[in-house]
Amino acid sequence: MNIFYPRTFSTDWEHFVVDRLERCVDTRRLLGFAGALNTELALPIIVDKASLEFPLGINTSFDQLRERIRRATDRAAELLREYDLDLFTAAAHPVEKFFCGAHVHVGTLLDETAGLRLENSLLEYAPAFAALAANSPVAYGMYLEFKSYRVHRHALGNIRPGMPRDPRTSQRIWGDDLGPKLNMTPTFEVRIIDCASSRQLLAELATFTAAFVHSRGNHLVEEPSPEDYLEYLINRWTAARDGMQATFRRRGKPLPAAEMVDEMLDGCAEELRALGISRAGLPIVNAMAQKRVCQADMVIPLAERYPDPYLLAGAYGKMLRHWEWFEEFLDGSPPLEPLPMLSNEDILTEHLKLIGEGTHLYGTREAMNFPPPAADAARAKLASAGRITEEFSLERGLTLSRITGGML
Amino acid sequence: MEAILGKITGVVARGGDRFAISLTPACLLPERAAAPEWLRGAVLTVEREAPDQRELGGPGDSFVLTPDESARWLQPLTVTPEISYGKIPPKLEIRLAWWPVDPPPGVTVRVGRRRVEAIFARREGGYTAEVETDGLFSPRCKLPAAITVEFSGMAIHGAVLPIDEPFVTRLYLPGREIIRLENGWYGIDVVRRAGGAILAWREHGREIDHFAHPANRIGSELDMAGHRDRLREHWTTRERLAKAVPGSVRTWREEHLSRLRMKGRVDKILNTRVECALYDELPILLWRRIFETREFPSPKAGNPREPIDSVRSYGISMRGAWPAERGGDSGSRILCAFADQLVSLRDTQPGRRECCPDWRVEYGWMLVEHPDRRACGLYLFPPLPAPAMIFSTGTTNLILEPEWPMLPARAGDSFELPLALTMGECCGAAPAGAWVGCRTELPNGIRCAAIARLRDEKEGSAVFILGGERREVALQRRQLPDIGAVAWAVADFAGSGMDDPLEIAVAGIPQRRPA
Repeated sequence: MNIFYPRTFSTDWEHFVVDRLERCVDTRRLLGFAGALNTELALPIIVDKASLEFPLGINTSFDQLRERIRRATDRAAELLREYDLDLFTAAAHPVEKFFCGAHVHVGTLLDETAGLRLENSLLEYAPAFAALAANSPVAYGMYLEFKSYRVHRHALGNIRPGMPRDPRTSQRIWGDDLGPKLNMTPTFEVRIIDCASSRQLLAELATFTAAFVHSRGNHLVEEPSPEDYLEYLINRWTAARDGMQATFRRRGKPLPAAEMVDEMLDGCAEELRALGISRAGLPIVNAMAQKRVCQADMVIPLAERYPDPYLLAGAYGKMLRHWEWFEEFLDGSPPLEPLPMLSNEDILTEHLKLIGEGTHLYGTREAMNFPPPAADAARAKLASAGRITEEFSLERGLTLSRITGGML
Repeated sequence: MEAILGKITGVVARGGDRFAISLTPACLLPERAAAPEWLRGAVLTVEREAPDQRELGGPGDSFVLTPDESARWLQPLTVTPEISYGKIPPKLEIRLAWWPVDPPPGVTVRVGRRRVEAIFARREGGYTAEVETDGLFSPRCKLPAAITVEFSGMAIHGAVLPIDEPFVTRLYLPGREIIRLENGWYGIDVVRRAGGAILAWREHGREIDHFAHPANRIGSELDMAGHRDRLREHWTTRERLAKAVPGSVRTWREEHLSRLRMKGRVDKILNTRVECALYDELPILLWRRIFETREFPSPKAGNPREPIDSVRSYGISMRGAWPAERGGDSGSRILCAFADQLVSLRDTQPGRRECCPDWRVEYGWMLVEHPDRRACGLYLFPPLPAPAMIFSTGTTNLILEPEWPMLPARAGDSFELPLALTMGECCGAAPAGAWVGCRTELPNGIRCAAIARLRDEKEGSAVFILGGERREVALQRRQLPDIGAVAWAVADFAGSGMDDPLEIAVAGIPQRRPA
């Protein structure tokens, strides 16, 4: 029996708001706009961490959500324009230390125990959502090494890698890539999704996410094996770096992100129908999978032409006013090649990259967030290959230093 | 560097992907400070290339210029030569890159009470005026001498600075006011911003600025590179000192020293002062930050009051930032001593912050090394209380920001942080101490120096090898107020040059070499 009933979904879409001095408007001032829109649109619009957040109500169909997205953002843009303000609809801002997401809430879920089991089963797919939604190749102090700095940097603690959980020994937590979130609305939340810059893409992405989660509503599994969990972490990192060009690992074998998305789209055909749409009705998501293109690929050329973050913020903000920017880009974009799957050596190299001299042990955990046995094994391999030395003191703990002589 | 943010008044296609954008200045980034008076109401035009015109925006939209594009409007007035050494230039060329009114008003050039008026003539997309200096300088004129150029309410300085003679002087250069301290080794620019901070540190010998800033990049210059102090009042460092601008600046010469003192207020409770001294003969700068608490606000009459109500907790930190060389194998690193060990810290990625509250930097020194560009800096401070080591990596820089313990302060209390800084081209470090070496040109050769912090105060020597010639010089010691002993040695080499390889060892601590 499927754990979702009745089938509903929504998205919490976060936006920066900028003025004509290119300042992000602060919470104090945003609260009034949230209140006005809340009243006018009958949607629980709020302010969250200096962003205007649009929870788009309880939806049962693609058309309903798409219409709400359009209505809410049309009115918001109109209201903000009266004050010379604009929405800055991106997952990160080049100058400000914030990230924005488009969390997808999938309902209706009353059984938290089942939700936790579903969380375990969906970890494998979270990187595919991250790849599809990647839209933060530039963030404060970070430029063009990752397609989603929001995912890579965990949105400053607001989306963290999930972990397998046994419902019998779990407490409610907040902020993981995905999981049940019954403390507010009875839904399963997929948080890993970057803020979309296209309204049409958001509607497609949220519907696809919901349909896929619905489709897994009767595939509840116990905790994934440690090997599967590691693959999830590796794939999550790869999705953040490469977006739709990522090649994931599945049981050690390469699986391009685009193929995984394709497989997921086919796997939820029935659930899409239940939400009033078919796979063919999601042209943007289909084209992204076909061309291996994500929104970050649209931002990269702009950021390359504007290496100064302030100049980029100005030009980027103006392009973001055009909701069809990504559709236009996607139409004109040639297909991108898949990038190679990370080898075991690549994984060690990524760990080594974070080790300089006197780097605290935990500095390397930032590489791929491996749990202790895997992180220690990577460290041991680097040490046995003569790449690093280890030093211990009671005051600093264990520190690592690279042995000069190049990368692996 | 600052740049203009303007509001677009028009966008005109110029063919291909090129567009001319007209705008009126709204503010200056990054602080969004008011644009200068002379830009009020002005319409500026820049050209940009854009494959998609939408990224430029339209009338009423904001538009950000680069620092290079902004320079002609933010610093329209320049004088050439800006700085002359030793000799009064026979002629000055005053250039006005832009002015809203054509023709612009006249310009006055003044040295002391002597003044000359000049008229601008249109030339090369701007205006120039030439001024003969014959009648401007008195025969008894002493250097350093400032040449003040006054034009329509703005004033900038050209300067004639002494050669081979230490000095301290205050200068208004285009876009910045500085206090320059110079000796034979360094030219150090101190600014009033951030309660008093070091913006530039030029090493004369190699003509490099240790605090060089990335070109054409918008941002606070002091955040990118330089030394400033920080005030902690809570869990985090609040940047109230960053906004303080000392109102009082005094410079003077003493025997063997150039001195600078700046005083100002942080807020109603806290005064701050920075005292700075550059030795004439040694490559070492003394820097002392002092805070003094004033009376605390009185409680409402009748309200109870305990002693704790007149107490605040304060801590001082420093922040040294340098352009970073990245890379785990060869990048910039920090060296210090801890528990009889030499500790090396080198981070590989931007955006990281390393701190360890339990780990105190011992023996009163920290060394920063940039191996690729052969640049290093040594900070000396009182061995006790020892600071907690904190460092971070910015987008383009390496930031050293040790924190000293916070202390309770009552009205009338003062607290301070004395530092000594030296910068150079080579260094050595060991648990026993650290040193930095540099050299400068003499009329007939090269002078080399090493400044060291050594745990062992026994007699010792420094060995200098320049171009194959070897000198062993006994180390001398000087007690720096509150900081402790510093060891130093100087050696002169006749007939050697700046290109000759230099090698130094101090008290047996060898020179560090690139891996």
